[in-house]
Amino acid sequence: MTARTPVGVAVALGLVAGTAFLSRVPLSLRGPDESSLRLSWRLDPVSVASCRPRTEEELARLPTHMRTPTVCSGGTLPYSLTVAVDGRELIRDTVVASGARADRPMYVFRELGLDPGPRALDVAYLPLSGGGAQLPPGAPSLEWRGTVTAISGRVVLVTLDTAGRSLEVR
Amino acid sequence: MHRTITLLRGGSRRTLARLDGWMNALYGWRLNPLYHSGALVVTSFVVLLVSGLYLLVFYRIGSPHTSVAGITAQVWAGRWIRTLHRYASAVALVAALVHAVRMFAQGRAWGPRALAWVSGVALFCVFLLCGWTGYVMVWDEQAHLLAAEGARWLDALPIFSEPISRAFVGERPMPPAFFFLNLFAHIALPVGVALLLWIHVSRLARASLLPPRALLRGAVALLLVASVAWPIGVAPEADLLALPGRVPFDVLYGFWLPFTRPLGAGWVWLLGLLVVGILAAVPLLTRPTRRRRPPASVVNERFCTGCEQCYHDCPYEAIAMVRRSDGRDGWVARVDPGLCVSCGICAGSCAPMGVGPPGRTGRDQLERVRAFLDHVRPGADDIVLVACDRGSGGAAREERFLDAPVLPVSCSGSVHTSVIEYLVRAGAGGVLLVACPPRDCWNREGVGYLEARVHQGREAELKERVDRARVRIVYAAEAEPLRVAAALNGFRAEVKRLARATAEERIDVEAECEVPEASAAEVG
Repeated sequence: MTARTPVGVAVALGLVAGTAFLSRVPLSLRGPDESSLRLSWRLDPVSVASCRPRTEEELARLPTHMRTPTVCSGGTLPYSLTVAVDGRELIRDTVVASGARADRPMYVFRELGLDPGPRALDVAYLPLSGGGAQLPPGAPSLEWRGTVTAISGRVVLVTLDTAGRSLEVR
Repeated sequence: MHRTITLLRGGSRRTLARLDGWMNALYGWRLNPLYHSGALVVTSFVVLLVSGLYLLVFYRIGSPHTSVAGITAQVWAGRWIRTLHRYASAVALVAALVHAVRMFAQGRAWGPRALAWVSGVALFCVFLLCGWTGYVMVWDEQAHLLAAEGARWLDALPIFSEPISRAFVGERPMPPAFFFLNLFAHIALPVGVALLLWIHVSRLARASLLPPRALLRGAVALLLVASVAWPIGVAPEADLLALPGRVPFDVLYGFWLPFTRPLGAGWVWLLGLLVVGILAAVPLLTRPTRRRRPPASVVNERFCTGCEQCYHDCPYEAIAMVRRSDGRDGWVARVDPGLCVSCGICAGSCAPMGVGPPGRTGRDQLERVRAFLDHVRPGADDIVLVACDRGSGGAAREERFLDAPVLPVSCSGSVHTSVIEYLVRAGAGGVLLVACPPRDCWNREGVGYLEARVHQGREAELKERVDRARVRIVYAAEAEPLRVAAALNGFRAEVKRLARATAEERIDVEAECEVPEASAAEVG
């Protein structure tokens, strides 16, 4: 125990306290008046492929392990997504199925800043039929129109309802 | 780039030297925590493992936040253990950073040391990841921020057909599978730490993984005191439909968050890889040019008796004993240039002066001493300083220190005891060996060997015929010239009280050490 021991202990305590403080610094990562609009849902893709059975000749030309009975061409139906807040269009986009072969589920995941207060919201997620062709049966069309109240620090979430048939706001 | 690195190294070395000096004044060199930064990381890691195992018993992946809140509510055996776990992780990171800066500043990251540096960088990254997963386990507002940010980065990789970030949008509650995966990572990563640690020290003959007992106890006691006195609380549970506001945030483990959030995920990956790449390239960036690179030790088989002393002393396991190739029976030392850092410790350990880096073997050292004596001619009242050019209060940079002639050496552990003997027998009043504090020896064990060779008869020992009253060892860090000055003045006063030193007419230490051809042939 030397005269410097108390100073040494105090410095050590200070260093540990400083390190401990650094592990709990209060930090604010958003402004005081920030809220957000989040769109998030996922749907199975609607197939627009036309399929026909393979002919005997076609099958014979293929290796044994590749002899699938039908051959398809086409893909999945693209969708248009439009979002307007207070009459101002903020998103107009085309959504296609995910995956390298575009045969995986379609998803929407967007986030926009929103000023707090009541806002008129218009969301439309509609199938795109190329050149006025008839839409396949069962292709869902989703729309939501109404007023939402954006609260500071909160997210307005537009998603599918529990049945997965229409949009709802949470 | 080289110029920037040199400037950075110079600046960090000066800063470290100053800090070392202050810490030595407070705690003495034995307990200076800056000298034990690497061992303190291991200490913290052990504390983390023990406290983590306890916390694991109470953690529930089905209700992470509630279980953590439950742990924190246990005043006697919950809150402080969780706090200890948190603070130990913070100390581990800070100590790792200090350790890395020291190695960088002292130029100990290139050549054979590159593996230790690169594995150290990997260890640091794994520690950061461990901390990340640890914070996510709590599932409070900070956890939400960290998890969402991590998911955003992963989404930038072209490997997922759907963004992972969608898991955190609030459509549905977080699935327990996520917390299971996170817990698995938090437990698996320390296994990686242990493996990397083994690689990190694999090059060393005698790695010191723990600090001295007093420092170990002190560090753990301090962590305990801080944990009890200033326990951490629990922030509100993560609400996926809320934008995190003011949160208690870990600057050490999440320092990057304020910088990465405004950036696109692609940029974050690019910058992250760039930073890791630069860190991993430090061995290349700090490597001296080929001309200035110190050469590896070589063995002169003619003098090597196969005594194995250099083989035992080498801190880097760079010396192996192999069968002789000169027709004589027995073993001879062989240096692996890929492992040798040219510390020269083997030169000091070889009694017949048969091994060492070219230009720095015992024989070369004697040549230098003869030239030094021709130039300086110390008198009976003069003290000669044999000073390590890394620390020694900067004495090695001077030709004379407080009017005492200075003989600079690359490491005090490389000084052959014949040099000391020669100086004393040449009539110098005394020889003051100025070494770095043992825990800051740039070559790990040099100072300890010097002490053992001078005072404990370790090969190559200082011969009995040398008056020990005329030899003194002092430890001084780079920023401690006053310590050297005090030791020099005290030693001068002591030498004055001794009988007047006399110079010998004929000193042939070299011949005395040489193994004659005939007797060498009899070895083995």
